[in-house]
Amino acid sequence: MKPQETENTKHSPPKWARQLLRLFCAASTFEEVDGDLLEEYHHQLRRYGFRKAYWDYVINVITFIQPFAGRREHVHHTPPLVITNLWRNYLTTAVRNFARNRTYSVLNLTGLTLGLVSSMLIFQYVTFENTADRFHVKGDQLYRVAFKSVVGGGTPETFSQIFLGAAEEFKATIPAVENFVRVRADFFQEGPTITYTSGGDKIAFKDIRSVIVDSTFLEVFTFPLVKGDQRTALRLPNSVVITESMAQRLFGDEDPIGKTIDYSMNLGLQNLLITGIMQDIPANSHLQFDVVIPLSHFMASIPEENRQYYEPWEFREFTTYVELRPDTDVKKVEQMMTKVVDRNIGEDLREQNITVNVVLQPMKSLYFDRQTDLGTTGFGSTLVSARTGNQRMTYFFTIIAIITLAIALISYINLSTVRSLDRAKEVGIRKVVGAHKYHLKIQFFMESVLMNLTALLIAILVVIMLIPYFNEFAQTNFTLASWFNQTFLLVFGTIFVSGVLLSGLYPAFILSSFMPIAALKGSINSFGSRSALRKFFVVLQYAPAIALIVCTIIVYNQLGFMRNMDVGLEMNKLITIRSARFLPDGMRSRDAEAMFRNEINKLSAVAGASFAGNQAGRGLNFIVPFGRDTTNESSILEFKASGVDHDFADVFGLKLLAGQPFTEGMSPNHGDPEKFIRKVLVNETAVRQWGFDRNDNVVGHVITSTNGSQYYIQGVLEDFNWASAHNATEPVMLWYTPNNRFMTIRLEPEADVEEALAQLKGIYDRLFPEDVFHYEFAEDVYNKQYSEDEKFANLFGIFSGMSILIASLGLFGLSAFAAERRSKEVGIRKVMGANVNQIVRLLSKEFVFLVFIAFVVASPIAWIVMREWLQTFAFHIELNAIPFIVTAIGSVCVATATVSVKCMSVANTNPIHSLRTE
Amino acid sequence: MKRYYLGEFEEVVLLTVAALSDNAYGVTITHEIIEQTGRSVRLNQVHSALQRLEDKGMIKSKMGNATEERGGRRKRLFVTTALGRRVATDTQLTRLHLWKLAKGTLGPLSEI
Repeated sequence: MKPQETENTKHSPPKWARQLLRLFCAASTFEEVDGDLLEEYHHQLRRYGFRKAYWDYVINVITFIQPFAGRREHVHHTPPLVITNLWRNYLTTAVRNFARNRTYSVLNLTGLTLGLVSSMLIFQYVTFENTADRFHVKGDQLYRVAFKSVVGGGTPETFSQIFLGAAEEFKATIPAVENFVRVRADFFQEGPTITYTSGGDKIAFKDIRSVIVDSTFLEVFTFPLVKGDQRTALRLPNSVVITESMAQRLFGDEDPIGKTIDYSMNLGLQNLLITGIMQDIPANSHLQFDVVIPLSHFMASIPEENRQYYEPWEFREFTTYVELRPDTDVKKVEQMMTKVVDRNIGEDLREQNITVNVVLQPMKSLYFDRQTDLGTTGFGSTLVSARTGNQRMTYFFTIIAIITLAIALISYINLSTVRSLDRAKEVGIRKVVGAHKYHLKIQFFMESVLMNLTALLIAILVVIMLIPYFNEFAQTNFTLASWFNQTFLLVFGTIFVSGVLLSGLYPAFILSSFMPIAALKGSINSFGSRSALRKFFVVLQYAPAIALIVCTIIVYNQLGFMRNMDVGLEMNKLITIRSARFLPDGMRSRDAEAMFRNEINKLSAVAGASFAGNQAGRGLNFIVPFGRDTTNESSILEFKASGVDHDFADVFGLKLLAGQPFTEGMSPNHGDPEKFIRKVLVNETAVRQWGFDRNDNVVGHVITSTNGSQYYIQGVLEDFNWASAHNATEPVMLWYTPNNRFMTIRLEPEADVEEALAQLKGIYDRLFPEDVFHYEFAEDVYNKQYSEDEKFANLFGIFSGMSILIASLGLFGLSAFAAERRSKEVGIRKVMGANVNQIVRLLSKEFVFLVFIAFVVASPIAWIVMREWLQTFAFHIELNAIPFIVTAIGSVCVATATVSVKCMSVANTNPIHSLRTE
Repeated sequence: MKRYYLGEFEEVVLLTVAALSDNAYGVTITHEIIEQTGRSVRLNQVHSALQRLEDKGMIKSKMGNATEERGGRRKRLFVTTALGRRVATDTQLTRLHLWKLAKGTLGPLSEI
């Protein structure tokens, strides 16, 4: 029967409340109660209106939730099985025990919960990293094509950027290649600018990551579209696909499909029609981008005079992915591809003594791949849009997760066995009235399970609350549903179950083994027995915690060192600005740059301004290979190179050690301009690697790269680290380009930064009204490269803090218990004249000593691990004793404080209280 | 006579059931109590009192008809049993007896 539509039924009581009632109300009375509540609801609705009726209904439902509101059924119970009674009894005992020893129970629970929370967070992170790029439906069939090239007999190197035409020929000649897609970041140093006109206002956006791809992109990869047709989105003329968040950035809540944006890159301004909106790229995709531009469009927009550079077997800036037939012999395909390469450029390669082998890299291996050279940042590469994970980091974190959980479990085992004395009488009685050993085992095991489950429940709640913070921290976008995904549940479930088994079985065996007579006579002293094992456990839980603390200190030290390292560049008060892309009609880029420079040099706040090909911290744009003629014929020396102007050295505070600096208006070439010999400055590392011992000796030399271009060395600069402390200083070569893409401005030391920025913006807006002013602080850009290290350090810090906390909770419980056990002894000692100090020392001595032992065990491990870790940095701190000493003092202090809390209270008790009772 | 314990609220409910004769179920009983005594009563209290009374055998119940308002749910209709009526009468008689004994100290009682 359905209620008819009347005036009143358009309001109905809340569904959820009714559902609640159905859940909690006894089935036998549900019908009448439900009916009564509905009737009452309608009564109230007529009389007092919706709001009152609604809330009254809710309150009514809640009052009916009480279990005694249920109708007692007049059914004769069949006598319950003994086992059910026992189970209920176990449960009652467990709950009572929990309530009686509240301190210990809460300690146990907190320790377990903390351990579970930290391991859940870490395992999620690790799972997330390890499942990178697995979201592609065809993932198993996808491979990245890379060239493994060896020059002479040197070390092989792998490059992921291959020739433009290679993929097409692979597909045409190799049947196993079903499909391919080429990807190239459209990123010529300063990146594209997008403008969009909305209601007469022009808004410009910089800092955009865009990729140029084949139209097969959406078929080969799984990047689902939210709007637009997947088959045609990239095939329409002038089409562009953007991500949801990019669409949000550009258009807010408007529908972006069919809108036109102005897109500017080095190939000039283009009008692009938005044909598709893509779901945001998962953070664990190695390809990261905001904008997708079809390759056909890119090729069509290349000006006639530049076409010559885009020959199929000349232009090699595309990263190629192929889709192979399922069950293809990959090795065979690799060989066939190598043959194709050989057929096309084999001759050239042999001339240069280079052997190239094609390597197919499985899609799922790419995220962690740090060996493959993804290309330079110049001339567009995948580097800026490719994210690489850090496998080493995931290993580290897996270990940390296991350690924290293990500490929590050990702490639990220790506390529950130590407390077994409290249960000895119970065990005795149970045995006397006929309990078998296995009954007791089941009972105590069940208690452990119960405890662990409670901890798990709380941990899950905590984790749910922490998800937003986790997302922010790890740059992920987990939701409640995606957090508890299958992999995670499987991994964590396994760990949890094994944890429960381990921590539950041991106390169960210990407790069930008490002899009833001894137990009832009270002659079991559980604290005295098995003390060696207990001590061992204390050491076992403290040692890893201490090791983690030492590591944390060292990691932070290294991070601080990298940040404050003298990189040879003066970064303070440096502002970088990317060149304007939307210029007034008829203005050429280099004129715009020169004009801007002239204008800002007039500002009093500006000490100097320089143009360079890139920003500090992001690497240099070009690689120039040299055959090392002095030492080894076959090895190749790669110089990182870029164009800079005459103010570069001044602005960055570089010292010229020998030769001549660049001067304004000088000719960029040496001698006959027809010969195109560039004048260059090199750094000291270049000089050394070249084999010269004196800087003067190298000035005036003309050097020739392996591809035939010549350079005249005009001067030598002091070393500076343009890239990162991870890598050793590279040989650098700078040539003269008066105007370039990145301007770096040095402000006067006493200049007001805000004011200077406002002035710069004023000039920029006046000169380039079409464009948008975008600035960065050089220091921020430089330090951005350390964000991963920073994340690592912070995670490390948090979780080692967590582990020491858990260990301390355990120690606290243990020492408190010991102190209580010895309260009679303390009483007698006090009567005999001992003072509080002596007693506290007596009680805490053992534990503090154990913590010290743990430190002794942990130190060498931490030393070895950290020495390995530091080796991954070209510039790193030297390991010394300070972090170890700090940790030793710190952990002993923490242990003393932890232990003393309870010891103090025991020592301060009036001996009357402890001695009176027997 | 065997003593039956009848709580104060139970008595109110029992009497209301009697007063409502053949239309005594949760909602009507609640409304009647509110109307006649002016005390604020919730459905769940009435329900549990009815259950206690039924357990004691002072009332009995059967399922009645359903109405639209009730979302098609049937109501449980209550009637008093002989025991219930006797206990109610006993209680009332005992009370009257005590009243008479205490007469004078309690002040005037106009009508009973």
